Amino acid sequence: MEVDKGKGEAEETRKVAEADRDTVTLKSSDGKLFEVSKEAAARLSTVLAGMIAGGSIDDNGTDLKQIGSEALENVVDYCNKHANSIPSAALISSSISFNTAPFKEPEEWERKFVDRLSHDALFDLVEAANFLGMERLLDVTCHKISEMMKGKSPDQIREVFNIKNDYTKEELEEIRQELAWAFYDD
Amino acid sequence: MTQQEEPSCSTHCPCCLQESLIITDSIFLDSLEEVEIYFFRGSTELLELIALLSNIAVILEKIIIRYEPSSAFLLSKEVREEVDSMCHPNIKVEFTVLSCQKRVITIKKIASKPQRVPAAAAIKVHPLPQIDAGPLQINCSMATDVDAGARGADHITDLPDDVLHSILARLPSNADAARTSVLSRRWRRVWTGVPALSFRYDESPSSSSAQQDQLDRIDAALSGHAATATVGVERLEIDVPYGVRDARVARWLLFASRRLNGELRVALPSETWCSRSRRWPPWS
Repeated sequence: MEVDKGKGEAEETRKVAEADRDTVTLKSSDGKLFEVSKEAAARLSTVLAGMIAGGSIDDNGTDLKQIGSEALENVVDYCNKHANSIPSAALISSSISFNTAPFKEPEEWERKFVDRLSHDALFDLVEAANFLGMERLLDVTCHKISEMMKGKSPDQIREVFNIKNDYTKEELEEIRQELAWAFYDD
Repeated sequence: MTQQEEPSCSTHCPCCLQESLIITDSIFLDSLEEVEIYFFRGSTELLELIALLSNIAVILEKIIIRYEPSSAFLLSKEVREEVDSMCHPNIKVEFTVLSCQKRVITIKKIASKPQRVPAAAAIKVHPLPQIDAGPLQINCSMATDVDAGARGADHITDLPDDVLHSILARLPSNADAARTSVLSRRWRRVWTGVPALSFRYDESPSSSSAQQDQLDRIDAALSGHAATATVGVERLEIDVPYGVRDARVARWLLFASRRLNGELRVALPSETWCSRSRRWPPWS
C-alpha cells in the first residue's frame, strides 16, 4: 500500500496527475505516503469527501498530521478491502429507527480486519476513523471495543483497558448506591 | 498570555460578540469546565471566543469543537494549530465531525424540548469540580504519536465522548453502560450521553412483586439519567409484557416530555389500555 516516493518521483507524479486522477495520496504524521481510491475515500470518509469536493487535496500527499503511519495504513487497507467487497443490504440502509436493528453488524471480513489489530493499533484506528469522519469504520471499531467490554465486571474492564480508578472508596460506594438498579443481577 | 482579565463581564466579554453566537442567559466564564462549540467554521469570532476562554476560564478542561463534514477543508492544519496554540496546555481540545447519523435520528419530535442547541454555538455549564478532583488530563487528543510501545497505556479514556457513547450504545443494556460510571471519574457521566435508552423485557417475571421491582429499576434508571445527563435522549423505548399502572406510565411520559429529543416507543400488552373504564389517552 505504501508508496514512499522519492522527491523527483513525486514531482513527476504531480505533473502527470492533476484532474483525472482516480486516487488520492495521503500523508501520515511521520511523512509516509499512501494512495487510496478517490471513490472509496469519498464514500467512506466524510472529511475526505469534503476535501475532495472542496479541492483541498494535495497531489503531493494530503497532510494528515493527526494520523500515524500505522493507523493510516490500516485506514487505506480498510478502504481498499471495502472497495473490493460486495456491499450488503446492511450497508445501504441508513435511517435508524426502532423498526430496524440499532446498529449495522460488522461483516465477516470487517470482524477479521479489526481482530488482527493489536490493542494500541485498534485505538489508533478508532481515533483516525473519528478524525476522518469514517462512520462505517468507526462502527466496526466501536463494535470491537464494546465486545471487549461485554460481560465484564468494572474491575475486569479496568484491567483490559488499563483504566486507573481515581475514586475514593466513599465515592465509589455512593455511586454504587445511586446505580443500584444497574448493578442488579437479572 | 500575561493579560489578566476580570472574572466579571469585562470589555472582553463575549457579550460584545454577535448575540446569536452565544445562547445563554448568564454564565460566569471562569466557572466553565467544558465548552462545546457546534458548527465550527473557523470564523474569527469563534477564535476570539476560544482565546478569551483560554485566558479567563481557569478551570476549563476541555473544548470540543464540532464541525460539519463539509467544513473540514476549512479547518486546515494551520487553523487547528492556531486553536491548539492559543489554548492553555491544561485545556484539552477535541475536533469532532458532527455525525450525520444524529441528524437523521430526530424523526418524530414529541415535545418542543430541544436540549441540543441547533444554532451557531452553545456553551454548556457544568457544576464546579469537587475540591479533591484528581489531576487534570493534559493529553491533547489530536496528538496520536503517543509512545506506542508503552504497555498499559489507557487509550480508551482519551477517546472523545461521542466515540465512547457509540461504544457503550453497543453494550447489551443501559445497565451495562451505566455500570461504567464506577471505572473512574472520567466515566462518571459518560453513559448518560448514549443516545438511546431501551428497556425491553420479553419475559414476564413470575411474581407481581418481581414485576414491580423490574419497573422500579426502569424508574431508577430514568431518574438517575435525568439527574446526571447534560444532553437529552434521542430514543426512549420501554417494552414490558405485563400491565403497568397509569401513574407509572405518566412518569415515563413526563420524563419523555422533559428529556427526549426524538423517538418514543412504549409497548405494553393491549389489555392495559382497553380494560374496563380506562381510556387512553386520558384526554380523548
